[in-house]
Amino acid sequence: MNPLILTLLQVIVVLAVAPLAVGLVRFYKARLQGRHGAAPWLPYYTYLTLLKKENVISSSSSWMLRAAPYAVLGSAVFMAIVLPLVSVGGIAASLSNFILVAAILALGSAFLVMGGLDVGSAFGGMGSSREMTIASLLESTILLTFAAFAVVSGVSTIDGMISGDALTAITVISDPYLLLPVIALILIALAENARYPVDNPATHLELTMVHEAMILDYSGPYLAMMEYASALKLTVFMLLVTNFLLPYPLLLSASGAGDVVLVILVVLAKIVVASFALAILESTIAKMRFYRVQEYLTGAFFIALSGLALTLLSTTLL
Amino acid sequence: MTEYQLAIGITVAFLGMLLAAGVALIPRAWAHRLSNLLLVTANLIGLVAAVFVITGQEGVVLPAQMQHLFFDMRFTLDRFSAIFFALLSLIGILTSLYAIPYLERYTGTYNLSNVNMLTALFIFGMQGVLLATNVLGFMAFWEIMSITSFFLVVADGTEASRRAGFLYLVMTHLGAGALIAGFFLLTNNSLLIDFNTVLYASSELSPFTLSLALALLLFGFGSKAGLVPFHVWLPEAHPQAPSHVSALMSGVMLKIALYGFLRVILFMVPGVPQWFTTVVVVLGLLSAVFGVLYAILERDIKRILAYSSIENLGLMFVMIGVALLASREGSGELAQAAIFATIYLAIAHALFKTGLFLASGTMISAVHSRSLEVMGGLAQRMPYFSMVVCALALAAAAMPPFGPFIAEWTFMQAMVGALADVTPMLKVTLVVILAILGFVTGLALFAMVKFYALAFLAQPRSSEAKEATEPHLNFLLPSFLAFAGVLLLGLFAPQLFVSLGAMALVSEADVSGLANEVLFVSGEALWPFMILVAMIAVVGMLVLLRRLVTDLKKERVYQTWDCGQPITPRMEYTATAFSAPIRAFFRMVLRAQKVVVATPIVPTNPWMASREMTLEAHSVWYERLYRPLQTGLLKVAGVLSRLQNGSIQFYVGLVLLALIVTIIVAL
Repeated sequence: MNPLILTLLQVIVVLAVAPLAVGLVRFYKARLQGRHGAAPWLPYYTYLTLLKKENVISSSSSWMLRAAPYAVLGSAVFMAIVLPLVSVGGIAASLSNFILVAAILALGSAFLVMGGLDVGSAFGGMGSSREMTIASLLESTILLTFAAFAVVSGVSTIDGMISGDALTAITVISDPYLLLPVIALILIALAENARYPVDNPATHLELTMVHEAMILDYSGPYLAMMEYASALKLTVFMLLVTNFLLPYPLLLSASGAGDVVLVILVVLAKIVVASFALAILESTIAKMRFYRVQEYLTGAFFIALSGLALTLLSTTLL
Repeated sequence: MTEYQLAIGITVAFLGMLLAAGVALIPRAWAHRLSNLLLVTANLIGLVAAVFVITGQEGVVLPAQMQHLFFDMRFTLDRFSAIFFALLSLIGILTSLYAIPYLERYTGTYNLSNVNMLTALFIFGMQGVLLATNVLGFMAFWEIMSITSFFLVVADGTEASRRAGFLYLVMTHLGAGALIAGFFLLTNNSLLIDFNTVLYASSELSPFTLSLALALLLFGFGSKAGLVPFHVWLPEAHPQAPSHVSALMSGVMLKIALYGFLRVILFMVPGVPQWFTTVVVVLGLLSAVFGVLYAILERDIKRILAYSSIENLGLMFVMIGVALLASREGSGELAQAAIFATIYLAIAHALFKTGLFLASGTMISAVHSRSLEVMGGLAQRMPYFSMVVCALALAAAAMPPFGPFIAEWTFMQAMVGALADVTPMLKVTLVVILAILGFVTGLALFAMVKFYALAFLAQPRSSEAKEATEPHLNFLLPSFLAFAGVLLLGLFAPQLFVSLGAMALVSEADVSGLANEVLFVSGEALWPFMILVAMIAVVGMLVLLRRLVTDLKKERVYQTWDCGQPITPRMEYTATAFSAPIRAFFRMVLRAQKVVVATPIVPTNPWMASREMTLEAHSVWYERLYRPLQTGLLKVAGVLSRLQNGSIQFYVGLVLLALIVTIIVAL
């Protein structure tokens, strides 16, 4: 298939399933907690409703309030375009260099933080301060995690790390020492997406919130963009983690039209499984007190560091 | 252009500084503008000439007449020093352009003709360091640079400036002393031999003498570059100078120290011992980590920028250290990438730091304070200015697609690429450096977001900030040019790498079906232009979609959601509160002390109290390293002062004794 078509298919599929992923997590959590819960496709309806609502702009804000939704959503869309989520070898694959991806991720966080500070409420400031702390301390973990994959695969583009082919794929089973980097990646995904145990995405209580505090003063279309951006980011990370665990089947330049249906079904299955796993996790563990998050971040850092060390050791010895 | 024309161009730029210094002393109102315009013109000529030298094949030698003017010394500009000369000229243009409107606002604070003369001489001194070809000339111009900058630090005559200035004077002279001693050892006591022949002298030194010389030179250049733990003067002295001089000091003077260090390491010694590379890497890492942590803690905008300079210089020294390690281990590609990353980061840092320091001058003149706690809300009042500052701050945090990102990408990519096939020892070192580098990059974003957001966003925290208005174009232009420069540095990185001589790091590659010159480091291609195109395309598409899907007119302005009670600026997050998590997480190393004093309003109810919080962030280095040294020295001096008993005969005897001891030692 043409690289352009590969990328287009990926973007369409990821953008389409993003609200479903959020809805599914909420649905499973409700069921696990003994509630009936809303239908998994409620987020589609919510976002569409928000788009029609009036946009209320804070009188103390500047251009940053207007720029932030575009930058935050843009950062998430950039991920959905360049990373190997549904297809491998797309047209923008060369932009999936992991250092660049980490920087774009951080750029999105920076704008989210600045947007949160712009309205001048204490809530926004608190959420921003916390988010900035988490995002900046995660940077090192992200680099070390992907450096381990880069050493094994010999390339630094995330697209190249996932081959999408059962014969050449680098998996946790073929290279067991990659287990640590994969665990680190899961920890990164939880922290980056403001999930348990770092943040509680369900509450609006000042003691617990990070992400929600920053978007408190957005409304209408801007709120839709912010919510959609976080849904998209969650989906991107779900697919990325599952792809590192099971790097096939994905759409390749060699695949035909028949594979498209199969791969889309697999993607849906991955989302269903990943959101169930996330719901189980969020129902069984408690959220950490914010000032203990450093322990979580330090843990993630050392898992990533030992993952890279073990990888280097193994590749040198074997 | 011919070599002779280039030599004339450099000479004009060099002597133009002296002319500008002379013009500045004319006691007329127009002297200020004329002097700065002369600086701009001369630096422009110097920039053009230096760029031609960089892209040419060889360096230029300045006309022989110049030789007789200054201690019978040859002045040359080779391709290596031309990079720094071009940088100096570029920053000189920006700061002089800014000085015209900026200083006119401060006629009461500064003596304009003195400041202009000293600034011109300051640039002259830095140019001289770059043009010098022997130790004597190098040190003479080094001193001109140090002394003029000292006078510029104390230019406003306040007590704080004097204290900072004297600390700076002491440190810079300790450094200069170490440099002279180091050069003496390296050149085997002949300060007049040409730099190109120092290598022959230093090749014959014993390993111990070479080590000693290198240690002295590292201290000398490191203290000027603000490496931790020799950095204590930098956050005191840089912010006290007028803002355009702060820009010159942080943007260029630190790079002159870097130039001197690189000149010695790359061209004057046969090779460096193992311990030396380790020390360079460790000092670099220390500077990067402590620089960025203090930048996060700091509330004074100019001190934030000064600490960020320490961090960036730290990164550069780490890169140099890795280059030295790699070339020792035989991985030439990593060494080359690291050296070019150093130079690229030096150029990029000069640009964004100048832009930010000039912007800080504008911010300070708007709110009359350097504290973030009285700013806020400036973005609403100066939108265009705030956009420029925001972009510069993001560039400073090494965000794509700006120049600093390219430098860090080159370095990190080369390290990751080298990880698989280097010796185990180097592997461990690279992993540690990679981890700390990621940590520093993340925290740098924290510091820069704090710098921008607390100053420009939310509601104004003081009446001055409330009345701020968009600065005049004269104030905006230099910062904007710096922003444009740092953006172009990112976008045209492949072409610029070729001009700088890093052909091996650039390749003609096929990216996304388009053939182009791209950065090519350890098998990975990066096309910076494509990053910007992708970013613009994505955001542009979103803007378009928003217009198509939603009704843009359905919008109203209303106060921030306030739970029924009006929000005042006092409820906003302050800079101190914003950095609280980092302060808490790193309290082991930062040792900031928070003291909350609660005075009960009603004696019977302890909960109704007025609380006062003070936060003291002591400099660990000053308290633990410099204070004991200082008290020790004073004690020794106290003991020695007993010798001062007023009897002339005794003093004469001491002189005689000193003479005899000296002769014995010398013979």
